[in-house]
Order: sequence, then C-alpha cells, then structure tokens
Amino acid sequence: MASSGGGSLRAYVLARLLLAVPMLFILLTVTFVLLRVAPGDPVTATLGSRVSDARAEQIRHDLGLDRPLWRQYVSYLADVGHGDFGKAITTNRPLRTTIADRFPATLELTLAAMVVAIGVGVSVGAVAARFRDTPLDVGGRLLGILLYAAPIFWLGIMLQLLFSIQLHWLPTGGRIAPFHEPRSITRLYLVDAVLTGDWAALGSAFRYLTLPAVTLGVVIGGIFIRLVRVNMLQTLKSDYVEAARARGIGERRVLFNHAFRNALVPVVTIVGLQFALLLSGAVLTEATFTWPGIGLSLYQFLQNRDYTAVQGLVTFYALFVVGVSLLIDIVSAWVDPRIRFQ
Amino acid sequence: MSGGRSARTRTDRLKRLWRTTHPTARRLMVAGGVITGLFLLMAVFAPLVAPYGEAQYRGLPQLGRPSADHWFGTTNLRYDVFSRVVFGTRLAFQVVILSTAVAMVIGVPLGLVAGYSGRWLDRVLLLLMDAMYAFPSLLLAIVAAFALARYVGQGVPAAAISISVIYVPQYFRVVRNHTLAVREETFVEAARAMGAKRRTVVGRYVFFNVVQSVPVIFTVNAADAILTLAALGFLGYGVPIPAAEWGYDISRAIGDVANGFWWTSFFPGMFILGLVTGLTLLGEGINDIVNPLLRRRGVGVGAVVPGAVVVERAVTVTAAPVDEVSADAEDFEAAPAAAVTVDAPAVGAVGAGAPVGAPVGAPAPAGGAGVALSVRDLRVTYASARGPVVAVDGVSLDVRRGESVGLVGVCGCGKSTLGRGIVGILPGGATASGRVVVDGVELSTLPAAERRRARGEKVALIFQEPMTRLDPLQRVEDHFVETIQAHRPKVSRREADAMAATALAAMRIPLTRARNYPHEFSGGMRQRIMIALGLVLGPAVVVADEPTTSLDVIVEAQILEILDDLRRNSDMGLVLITHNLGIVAQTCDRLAVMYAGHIVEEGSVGPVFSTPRHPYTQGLLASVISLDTERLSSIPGSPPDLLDPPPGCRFAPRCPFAMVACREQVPALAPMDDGSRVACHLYPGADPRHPGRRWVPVGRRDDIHGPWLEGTLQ
Amino acid sequence: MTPEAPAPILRLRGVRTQFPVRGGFLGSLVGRPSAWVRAVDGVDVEVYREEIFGLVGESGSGKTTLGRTMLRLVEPAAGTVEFEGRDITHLSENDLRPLRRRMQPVFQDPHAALNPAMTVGDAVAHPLRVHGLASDRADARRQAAEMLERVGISPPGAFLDRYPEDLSGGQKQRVVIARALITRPRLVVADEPVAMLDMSVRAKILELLLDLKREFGLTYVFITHDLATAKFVCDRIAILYLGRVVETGPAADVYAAPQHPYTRALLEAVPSPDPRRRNPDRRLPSGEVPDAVDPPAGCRFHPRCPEAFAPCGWEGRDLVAALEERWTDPAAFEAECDLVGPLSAVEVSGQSVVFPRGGDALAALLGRLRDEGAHRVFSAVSAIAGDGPRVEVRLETGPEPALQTVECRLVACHLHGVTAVDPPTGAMVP
Repeated sequence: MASSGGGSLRAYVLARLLLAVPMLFILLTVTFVLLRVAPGDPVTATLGSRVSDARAEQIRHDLGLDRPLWRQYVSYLADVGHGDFGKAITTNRPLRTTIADRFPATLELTLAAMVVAIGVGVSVGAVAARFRDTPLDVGGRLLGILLYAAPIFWLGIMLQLLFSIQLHWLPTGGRIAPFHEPRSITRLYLVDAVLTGDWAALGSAFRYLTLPAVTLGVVIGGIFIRLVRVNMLQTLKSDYVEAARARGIGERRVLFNHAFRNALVPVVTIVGLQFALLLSGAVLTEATFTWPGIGLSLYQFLQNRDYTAVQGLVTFYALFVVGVSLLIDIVSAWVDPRIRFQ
Repeated sequence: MSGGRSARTRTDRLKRLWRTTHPTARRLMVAGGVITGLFLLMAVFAPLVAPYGEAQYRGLPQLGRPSADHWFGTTNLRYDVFSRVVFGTRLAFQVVILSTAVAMVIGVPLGLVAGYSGRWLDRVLLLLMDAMYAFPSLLLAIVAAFALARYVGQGVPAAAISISVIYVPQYFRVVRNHTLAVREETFVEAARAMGAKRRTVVGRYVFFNVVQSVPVIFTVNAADAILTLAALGFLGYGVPIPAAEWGYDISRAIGDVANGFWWTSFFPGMFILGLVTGLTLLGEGINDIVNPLLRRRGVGVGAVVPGAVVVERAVTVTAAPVDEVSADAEDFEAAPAAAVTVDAPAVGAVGAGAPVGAPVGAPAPAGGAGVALSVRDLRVTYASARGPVVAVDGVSLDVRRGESVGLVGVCGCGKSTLGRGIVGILPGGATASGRVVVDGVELSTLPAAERRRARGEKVALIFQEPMTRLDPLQRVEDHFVETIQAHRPKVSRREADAMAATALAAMRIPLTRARNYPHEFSGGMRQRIMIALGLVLGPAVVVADEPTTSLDVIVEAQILEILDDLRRNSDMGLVLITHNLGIVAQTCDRLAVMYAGHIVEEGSVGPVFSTPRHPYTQGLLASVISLDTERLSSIPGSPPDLLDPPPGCRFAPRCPFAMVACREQVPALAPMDDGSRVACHLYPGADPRHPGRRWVPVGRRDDIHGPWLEGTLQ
Repeated sequence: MTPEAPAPILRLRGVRTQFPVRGGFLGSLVGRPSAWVRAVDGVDVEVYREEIFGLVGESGSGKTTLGRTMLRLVEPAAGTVEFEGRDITHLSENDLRPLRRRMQPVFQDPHAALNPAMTVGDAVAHPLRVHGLASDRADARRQAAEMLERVGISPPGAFLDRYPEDLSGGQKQRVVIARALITRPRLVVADEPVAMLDMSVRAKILELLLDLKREFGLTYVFITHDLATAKFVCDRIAILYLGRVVETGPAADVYAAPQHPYTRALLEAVPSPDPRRRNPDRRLPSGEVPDAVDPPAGCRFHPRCPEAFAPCGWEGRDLVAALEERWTDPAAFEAECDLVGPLSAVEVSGQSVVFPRGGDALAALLGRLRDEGAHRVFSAVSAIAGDGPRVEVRLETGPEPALQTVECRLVACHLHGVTAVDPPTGAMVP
C-alpha cells in the first residue's frame, strides 16, 4: 500500500537519466552547428594565411574536416561517446590531454568557490530574511546586489591590487608556488596535500587558491543571498511555520527546522542551475588569475581563434553541465520526499 | 472613449500597489530608478558630457593620474578614462536594448505558442530551451560571438545577437510557464465557453496577463546583459577598440594594475557596478510590487498601543475560509465593503469613550474552578495602508472546562482574529491589548518565552486548512516529538514516541503510518493529525478556527464528532470558530455572534436559536439555507468598512429597527433573564446613559436607505 | 413540478470523461500517461427544458467534469452528449461555436472567472462581439449596460470601465452571470455559483438566478456539494459518487426518503441549524473519498458504506485497510501486529490476499474475525487457506450495481436487489 521510498527514487533516477540524453544531444548539436558548420572551414578560420594551402589541406585531412558534414557530425558524436574531444589546430595536441591536465584545477577552484558562495549566501540570506525590512535586511540585500553586480574579472583585479600589489599578502596568480606541488593522488592540491601530510604544499595551495576562490565565490554568493532570502521569506510565512509557532515550538527551532530546511529545497535545485554560472565565472576567474584550469585554456584558445579546440572544450563543458544537473536533481529528490512521489 | 478611463483605473491600481508596498522596498526601487535614469541621461548626452571623444588620444598624457584635467586619469593609449567610460555607457545601452529586444521578439511569441498549444511543439521547444538554459550562459554567448565573428565581424550587432542567444530561453521559459498557468485559469475557459476563437483567446485573455511578467525579466536581464557584454569584451569578443567598451578597457588595463596604475581599470568597473546595481534594484522593486507572493500586508504604520503586547511576525493575516471570495481575503483594499474595524470614538455621541462592548458588571476575569478561558476587553489592531484597523474591538468571553462555545459571524467580523488573539499568534504589525486568562494564568502579561510555552501546553489552535499545516519535510511522528520536547525537554524520544502513538490512536490514525510524510495522508486524516498534535500536551483550551471548512460534509461530520467527544472526555474548553450555524447548533453549548469586531449576542445555543434577540442574529439565522429552508432571506447592505465604521451601533445602517439613538450610542452587552447577553438598544441595559431602560422604535424601516426611526425610552 | 417535455434539452448517454495522470518524469518524457482518471465514468443524464437539474456530490465525485462535458468544454472518451437533439459529442470547436451562445457556464470562483486585464463592460460585451450580435462597439456597450442593470449592477455606467478587482465577490458573480446571459442562452450550467461567496450574499445570488430563470425561460444544471441549497433550488437531482450516479430522481422524493446509503449518509451529515434536532446515533461512513485513479471494485461506495454486505465488491485491499483501521486500537495492535507482520509485505491481488507468514495461528485469527463480523469485509470472505506459513484469504466478487427503479427514482445499490451494469465495451478505451 505505502510505496517504498527507495524504489521510487530509483525510478526517478532512471527517468532523469533518460531525460539527460536528449539534452546532451541538443547541446552537442548546437555546438557542432555553431562551431563546425557556421564558420565554414575551421582551418582557414583559425590559421588564416599563416600556413600554405598544402599544409592547410594536410591539417584538414588529418582532422577529418574534408569529409561531408554529416559524416563529420556522426564521427563527432561517436568520438564524444569515446571521450575524444578532438585536437587543437594551433597546438596539434589532443584536447583530451589538455582536459585531463587542467580539469582538476578547475574542479578545485569551483568547489572552493561553491563553499564560499554557499557560506556567504546562506548566512547573509537567512539573516536578511529573518530580520525583514530592518537595516540588517537592507544591508544584506544591498550586499547581495553589489556582489552580483561586480564583474568577476574586475573584482579579481581589485582584490589583486589590494592584497597582492599593495599588501603583498597573497600571490597574484598561479595555482601553487613553484616546486611545491604535493604528490599527486586526486590532483586536487588541497586534498593531496592533506593526504600526504605535505603542510608546506597545503599552505602554498591555500594561499594561491584564496583570492580566485573568494572572487568567484562572493559573486555567486551574491545570487545565493537573494535566493535564500526570497525562499526563506516564503517559508517564514508558510502555514506550517505558523502552525509550529502555534504549538509553542521555540523560535530558533522554527527558524532552522521548518523555515530554513524548507527554504533550502528550492535552493538546492537552483544551485544546480547556478553551477553553469559558476563555470562561466570560472573562465573569467581563471583568465584573471592565470589559474591553470580549463577556463584558462579556453581563454587562450579563444585568443588564438582555434576553432577545433574551442569546440572540444565547449563539448566537454556540455558533458560536465549535464552530469552536474543530473546529480543535483537526484540530490533534491533525495532531500524532498515530495519530488519522488510526483 | 473608454480607453482613457481604463487607463486611469490602471494607474489607480498601480498607485495603490505602490502605496501598499513597504517603504524600504519603495526607497530601494526609487534609488534604482534614479541611478538607471542618470546612466541613461549620460548615455544619451555622452558627446556633451565627455570632454574628449571616445577614441581621442592626440595631445593627452600617457597613464596620467586622475587630476582636474582628467578626472579619472588617462590610459596607456592616452585616452581620457572619463570620456571612455561615458561613451561606454552609451555602448552598453545600445547593446542591451538591441539584445533584449531580439530575445523578446523571439522568446515571447515562442513561449506563448508553446505554452498555449502544448503537445509536441511545446515538448520539443522546451527540451531545446532547457538544454540551452542549462548551459553556462557566458560560454553560449562566446560560442555565438565566436561563430559570428567570422561573418559579421565584431561590433554592436554581433555582440547584441550573441548576448540575445542567452536570453531567448529565459523569455521563453517565463512566458511559457506563465501561459501554461493562465491557460488553466477559469476566465480562459469562460472565453472558450463563449465560443471565442483560439486567436481571440490567446490575444485577449492569455497574452495581456502574460506580458505583465515581461518588465521584471526585462530589467533583470538588462542587468545581466551588461555583465555578459563586459565579460565578452574582457575575453576579446565584445565590441573592439576604438569603440569604448568597459570590459575591453578593463582587460587592457590588467597590465597597468601590476604597476600600480589603478585608475584605468577601477573606473570602468565602478561604472559597470553602478549601472548593474541600479537596474537590479529597479527590477527587484518592480518584482516586489507586482509579485503577490512576497507582498506583506498592513505593515509599516505599526501603531503601538502603550502597554500592549506587540507581536512581530511575518505571516499572512487571514486564514480565509473557502466561502470567502479570494480577492476579499487577499486585500483589504480590494473589497470596498470588507472586513475589519477602526477604533474611532463615537463622534458626537453622548458618553463616548465608554468601554465599547464590555460586559456590564463583569470587569474582572472570571476565575475559580471550571473556567478554562477568560477573555477581557481584547482589542486587536492591524496596521493597514490606509490606517490602523481594529479587527477585534473590546471583546470579553468566558469558556468553561468541558464546554464548547461557537464563535460565529461572516468573514471579516473578527472571529478568526479573536481566535488568534487568544492563542497569541497575530500577524506582523498587529497589536493586542486586553487580558487573556487560560486555566488561571494570565497569558497577556507573560514574558514572550513563557507565552510561547503556553501555546500548545495550555491553549492549542487548530487551523482551517490541514493540507498545508504540516511541515512537508518532517515525518508525522517527528512533529509530535518536536512539540512534546519543545515543552517538556526531559521527555525522551522513546516516551515522546509513545505519547504520539496514543494521540494518533485516539484520532484513529493507523499506527503503522506514524512514520509517513504528511503528503501521504488525505485531508481528513491530516486534520485529525493536527488535532492530535494540538491535544498531545493536554491543553485547557482548544481554539478550532473553521476546522472543517475545507473538508467534505461527511468528513466534516467525522471531525466534529471527534472534537465533541474530546472536549467532553478530556474536560477542555473548545472555542469553535465557524460561519456555519448548523455546526454550532449541532455541537456547541453556547455561542457568541460577532459583527464588525464586536460580540453582539452571546448565550446558550437553545435560547439564542429559538429566540434570537439582536436583529443581526435574527437576520443571520434567517439567511441560513438548510434542509428546512422554504424561503430565501438575506440582510440588506454589507458590513461596514472598519477603517471608517459608523458611529453608535455598527449594525444600525442595515437594521430594520435602527433608531436615532442607535447612531448616537454604542450599545453595551446587557444581560437578559435567561443568561444571554445582547448588545442592542431594543433591550434594557444597553444604553449606559439610561441604565435599566430600553429604546422602542416607532415602526419599522423597509428601506435601509430610508430615514432612521424615532425611538422612545421605556 | 417537472415539465416532462418529450425531448430533453440535454441528454447524456454512457458518458465517460477521463484525464491522463502523467507518470512523473518518465511519463512526461514519453508524453504518454501511465494511467487515466475516470472523473466521469458511465453517466446517463437527461435535462428537460426549464427545469433545474442538480448534480450533487463531494469533491472527487466528478460533478464539475460532468458539467464541463455537458458544455463540451472537454470531449468525453465514451458515450454521447446531445444538446437540443443534436449530437455534439465530437463536434469541432468551429461547429460548436454557434451552439455555444445557447449554452453557458457560471463558475464557482467569480474572481478567477473574470479576465483581470478586461474591464467589466468589455467582459460582458465580448460574447456579443464573438457572435456578431452587436452592430458596433456602442451597441455592445449599451447591451452590456442593460444586462448589468438586470443582474443588479447599478448604475451600470459606474461599473462598465472598472476592473474586476475593484468589485466585491457578489458583484463579480453578478458580472459573470451577466456575461453568461447576454447571448440569451437556453441552458446554463452553474457550477457551485454561491459556494465561494459569503453567507449573506448567497441568498441574493440564488434569488437572482431563480428570477432570471423565470424571466428568460432558462434551464439550469446546478452543480453543488451543498445538499441544503440543492434541495431548495432543484426540481430533480442526481447524486454522484466517484464518477457515477448512485441515485437520481425528483428532488422531493430523494430528500424525503433517500434510498442509497450514500445519499442517506450525506443527508445525515448536514448539520441542521436547529439545536433540538441533534442526532447522536447516526452512523457516519468511515474514511474519505478514495483515489479516482484506482476506484474500488463493485459498488464504489462499499469500503465506506455502513450497510455494505457480501455482494458489494470487496477486494483484498479492503481487508488490509480493515486490519490497519482495526489496529488504531492499541490493544488489537499489540495482540495482532506481530502475528500478521508488516502490512507492506502482504500480497494483494484482486480478491485474494496472501499473508507471507503467520500460519495456522493467523488463519485462526482471521477465522475468528470473520465469525465475529469484525468488519463488513469479512462478510465476503469465501475461503481462508493455510499453506505452511502462508495464509491466503479469498473474497467473493461483487458486480457493480446498475441503476434500478425504486420508489419513483433510480438507485444503484445491491440492498434493493443485486444487479450488474453492462460491462463497458472495449471500443471506448482510447
């Protein structure tokens, strides 16, 4: 009679996985159309007249760009299926290695930024909602808007100016001091440093990570502030919160157990959507702080107008985004029993 | 011809929304509007404002510090930074307006069509747009700009189109979802039922309601578009030099920073920050005003009565019974004849200032054994946009243990507010004065923490709509444990579970389901859970506010039987708030009839139903439609506006026996020989100027708009 | 009282209206529903000219859907709808358009029924323009003003250019009525027209509806959950439960001596505003209206019916529910819970229940419960078979009762003799 929660969650995950397939397909197609079909011949577009016609023809042949478009499309999809993202025209390196080299840095940055963003967003947002229309609320709201309104790269430059150039507290760019890299396990420097007990590496990695992570984190945090505040305002005036108060539940418990917990459910979902924003921001942050992640690679390939490289990296981003949104949806279903039962 | 008048009512409506918005929200919105306006002026008059051209470099110093000549300094390329940022404003507006226009032109119609037609078109478009929406927006814009760069080259159109790619899915989603919601509205069905063509339905019924959401997304997207443009510029895919573009200028200035030349990047960034902040404030302000979800009513004026209990809380005011028209419940302003009263002293009345509605000769709370609840001179004031509103005006009421008292009246008469005042949970901005004594303890003077503990322990409130009153994320059992432990911290989890099981079993909830979530229960079961939850600590008084209004008639009868058994067996006082006189007749011992914030008649169910004394009670009883009804009857007129209540008796304007005296003097509740109390000048003791005597009308008014009757004292 | 004209203005035959239940994510992906709710499931109704026909039922009874089907706002999945002798079951929107001016709805929530972006005058005049019944804008406006005046909105000039939100609930409902009547319809389907109005306004709107009926010679289908209002207003009524008519006939007969236990229960549950007529001995049905996605077999009311007996269509799940209900008594719970084991492990299919463990002791317990008549479901137990630790209980099947004539009305209940409806024809299933 009562359906078991586990079974429904499984069904939900399965359904959600199936939905991810067309979404991925669309993203890959859009990428292909915009970057392979629209610009015409990518080799000429990228290298222009820097190479001879014969050399260009050779590169085209190597990359399979002399085949009919539909063949290119099919092999593009097949390659992606095998985890092959093609080659950069300018460097002639497979993008798979670029991604493998640089993804951990991006992951470390985005995770650290997410921690900062959630910390800022949840605390300020919840306080603003609790003290609605007081100076605390106005201050929280303004902070949220200002953080959101600051261009990431500009904020990064300003923080560099203050903390690196004026105060000399933190480095301006890079991921770790030279020759400090910890022994590679997860390739997330902070984690590896802790795992290997390499405290010098930990300190250095932390110093290098701080500015980029804070820059990216507070900007995303600005959005979270508004999000948490609005959701919290709604749960604070919900019927069950009033009912809990009518039962004489303490104010703190009402706030945390009822208002706050319920406010976080939509926040978790929207965090999934904001993850895409985090990745956008990471490109700008990495470019500003020369943080050796995928975003920096993308920035460099963009400067060089390397079409196949941009296509490969964007394809990887698409895969990553679809994967993360899947994960977030499953987490929300796990948090909120209602979603599974819909 | 009608256009002008319609426009005026529309403006009036906006004005009203504006007036009822919280002052802080208004101030933030004005600030946003002013900032945005200044930037717009700067953009329009850029050539006049900027001292130099956007790409003028001859004769200017290189990397000059900010000075009188160059307020914001000069750049590496000898540009004047101030002139650059001013022209940057112009460029930003060009790109933003163009890109949002493109996005709107594509996104809005697509959303409308997909939302209204549904089916495969909707499914395909939704999948496409969702995929694009999930993708990092900046990357999307870069890819578009990258692809366009080869054909169109870089410039304002290319940048605008690249940015619009991001916002098409956003407009689409908002418009589609809104359309989907509007399509289900009854008025769209009404349009179909009148035979309107599909085109007409979409155009006249759906579209106008959907476009209202567009201004909000417009301002929000405009702010976002400026950031995206700057990011594109920073990455080298915006509008290139010599055009002045903020992001591009900042990217050129990175090298300057390392050498301490801060001004070349600082000022463009500040301009972005300023304009985006202005637009966001404006957008949030519009949203605050338009979005009803976030509106909070009657806040801000906050008249604090000295010595009164100030309740600060952010909950909505009315627990609207189903038979209230929703608009009436939503907004005091919407219904001209709505609800609520104002505490205006009876102007010109002889002896004005007498305790209004206070029971004669019963000033002290009834103490002693058997009395569960004693309310004295309770007055609850809401702050509304048009001024303070006294919803409950000096009400006194006693409930004995094991007794069930029905509190009846039409919506807006103050019965729900009275119930909430007893329990002590009033909405934000409401103030209460008077005394509430439960089980010998005066709640109204308790410190906040103890007052909180009294809720649930001494007095419980059962709400109207059980479906939304349980926390959706908590198992049913956890609600009980939480409630028990909030009041009795020493009770262990195991003991609390046992208490919960007992309470649930008493309500005939299968014990096998105690660990289920609220959404797994039906409405009637949830209401039984709510009752169990209210009773688990054994309160002396239970206030049930329309506990069955949202339930079907058979389930209603089941719940009423349960409540009736409980108050008899567990010896508690029950205050049953309802608009349904049948329920009172069937389950209550006594009843109190409320009208416009006052109790006008109070007594045992038998005598009041057989010989109602107050003309309002008579009218109310006559208007009940029951299985025995043979003739429809109604009271002419409508309840008074509580912001400006009539002087004297509040029912007088609708009363067939209204006399001149009724307009002059508020009648007091006077005891009758059968124990009832009535506040009406037709009965002796109601007029404090003439104790022991009554007014007798000369005739009867047939038309409530007719002249008031003369009356004689007897 | 009832003018039994030979040809009804509205005739429904075997009407079934169903809605898809989207199977969550997967369903929305494939676009195919995983189940159907049969909101109306095989209803025959005839409405005669100038009568007031009441459709009475609780939430989930399908009364609103039936009303929408009558107006062809939804298309039935099976059966036929005839309006003024013409089959309109599958007419296209274009072919329906000329008919729509002769049949109009009045809605429950007047606030939702008016377009907030349209003035009162435009709203009332719009049907005229849709059907080309006004020569020009001014004429439409004049007619709208006349109709507004007629429904008690006066002076109409003060209201024509107002927006609905400026009106009170009662005024809005008057505007909705004016809009419905401006094309001079023959049939009006009024769905709970006073349910959302304040008590003091209800009588006025009802009076208005009755006046207008007399003045314009209207036929009403009056949909309500309120038996008292239906009694006062209706000439004939049909009581609906879970998409089926359980009792229908002249209102006076039905109210004087209800023949279906559900009708009786409804009437007993209505609280009378006379404190001298308290009825402590009434037997209320248990539980609530079940989910329409998977309605009970046999008579749909049987799980709640205080008078149900063996042929009413008992199913295995009724037995499990009976045990669960029984265990709200802590003593029974303590004594029997361990023996029966968790109810989620019990295998239920149709008329069979298999308990995975419990053996002879459980079989004995169930036998005792049957002999005691612990619950009405035990009246249908045909066999209790032990098989090692497993115990299987089998129940008698019961047919779905057909409407049969009892004392001047039609009743679908086995208490008046066991009947069976014709099995639904397979062609109806989409």
